[in-house]
Amino acid sequence: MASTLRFASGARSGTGRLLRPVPLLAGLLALLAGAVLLGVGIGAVRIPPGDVLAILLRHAGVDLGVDVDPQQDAILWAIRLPRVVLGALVGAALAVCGAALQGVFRNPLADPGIIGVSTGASLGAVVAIVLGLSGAFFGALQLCAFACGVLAALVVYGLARHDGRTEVVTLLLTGVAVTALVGAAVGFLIARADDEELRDVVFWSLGSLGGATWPLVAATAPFVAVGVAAALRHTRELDLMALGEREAAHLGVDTERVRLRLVIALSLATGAAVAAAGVLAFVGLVVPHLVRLAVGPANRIVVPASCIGGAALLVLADLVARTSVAPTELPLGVVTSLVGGPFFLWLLWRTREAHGGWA
Amino acid sequence: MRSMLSGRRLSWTVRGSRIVDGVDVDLGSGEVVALVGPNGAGKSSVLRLLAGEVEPTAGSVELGGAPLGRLGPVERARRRAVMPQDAPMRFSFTAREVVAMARYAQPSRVDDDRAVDGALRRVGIAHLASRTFPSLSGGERALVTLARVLAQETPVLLLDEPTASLDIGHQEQVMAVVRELAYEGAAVLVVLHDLNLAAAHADRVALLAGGRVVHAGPPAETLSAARVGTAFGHPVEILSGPGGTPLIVPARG
Repeated sequence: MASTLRFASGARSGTGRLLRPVPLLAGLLALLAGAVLLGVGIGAVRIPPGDVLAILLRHAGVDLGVDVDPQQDAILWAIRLPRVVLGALVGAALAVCGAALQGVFRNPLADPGIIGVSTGASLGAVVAIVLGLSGAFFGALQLCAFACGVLAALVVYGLARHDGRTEVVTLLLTGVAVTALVGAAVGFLIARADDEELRDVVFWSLGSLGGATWPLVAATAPFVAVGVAAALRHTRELDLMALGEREAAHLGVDTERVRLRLVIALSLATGAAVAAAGVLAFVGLVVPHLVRLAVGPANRIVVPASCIGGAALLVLADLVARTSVAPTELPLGVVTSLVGGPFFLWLLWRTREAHGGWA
Repeated sequence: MRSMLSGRRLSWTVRGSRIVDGVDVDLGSGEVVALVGPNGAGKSSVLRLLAGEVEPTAGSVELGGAPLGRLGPVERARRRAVMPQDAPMRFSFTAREVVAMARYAQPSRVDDDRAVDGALRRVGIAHLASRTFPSLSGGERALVTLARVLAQETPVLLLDEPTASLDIGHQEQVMAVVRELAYEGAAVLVVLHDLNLAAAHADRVALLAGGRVVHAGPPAETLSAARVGTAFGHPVEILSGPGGTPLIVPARG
């Protein structure tokens, strides 16, 4: 990776980094702002960016004196904005969790699914659908998915702990085993489901922001905030953990405590994200890698940049999901995988070209 | 000479096998103590016990006058630095960023740049500062890791085979830095594979075999043909090297 990049940057710094942190963060913020404006403006009813701003400002208590179409206002405020905000939250959560877990586990392939959150949440959602809980009260499906996701992560972590220590490879393999087990349970339930339940299960597991409402946004936001805050707080420890558990400890990091704290906070965030939007592959993998490619691996930049970048990416992906085959929708998970899969292959290929792969 | 690090009757048993068996270590400021011995003698294990990485089954470690068990990770990192045998790193941090990681335990960031640049210069790798760690050769990585250890600016240094992947020139360079640090007052414990490096650069040499200290004392005393031959299970001859340092060569033929 380094050598090709150095070529690309004209050997300017020799570090193989394409961008300085500030321009990257500024660019990502601009991208996110643009994505939000497009996301709330485009759809069956088009709302020009100027009107979008006027409506948003009016809700913020600033009246520009522009005439605002009440229908546009209703569409934007009650339908599109919660969806866009939820998308941003979910994208931020997945990308930050990916970045931080890759650091914690020193494994570039770690993503939020690796500690069992995603499959756990799937089980919760399928249970809710098959047992008919999802119709029982608002948010029952999300609550079930969230609880099972977090529970699965804690089971994985608990099983991998031994004598107060956790060995990373054991943890990852425990995640694989638990994921397989939970996947079997999901399969069993799916085999017993009727057609309508099956459609619900498929719809949920392909990922969608279609269920976005303000209450769902409000329920998701605190957990995402907990995960992002924990990752931001421990960026220095994450850097040191790249040296390995032993080295980080020698340098003064309380590795076990930092990791426990991060795993819990990140499980809460991922659990909430998956519960709200279903399983979305590749966001947690692709965004942090792109950021590292641009500015290097220092987590004090990688974590906030992944947060903003993940939010922007998911808002744009949802825009594509919503509008590309209108009036119907593509599942969001299909869009993220369509973009993420090939990109990830390119990333692997490029890494292999530069230094013989990730082995 | 002030004792900076000491281990009393250290034993470490893992699944019934005794890796370290009643080892006493005393490390004073200003001295370089080399730990030598055959593969599997327990050299690295003694280092790990002294570093607090693993708990001894019996015995105790004191670091700077305080029981090691009572010091948290940050306090330990302010008192001693540990150089590992290998330094795997997946992410492409630059050499300078890796060295700067040594400053984690410092109470303030004020001296970071001075310490990091000083360490890079001292090890002679200022020109590698902006290279990414995975792109460095094995020897260069070892030097960056040594610079990292120096940037921690601790009174006690524990080095696990710092010269293992280095050529002769770099070996001498590293040992010269180690000597210089001791001259400035650091207490250095270094695990060495190369008996001649130990003979040339250490104030005292402790010879380990089967988890026990066979003998500890000045190089010429510890590294006798009889002791080394028995410990390594191969006869050796001791020649007189430059300046009277013993030169150990295996008996051949």
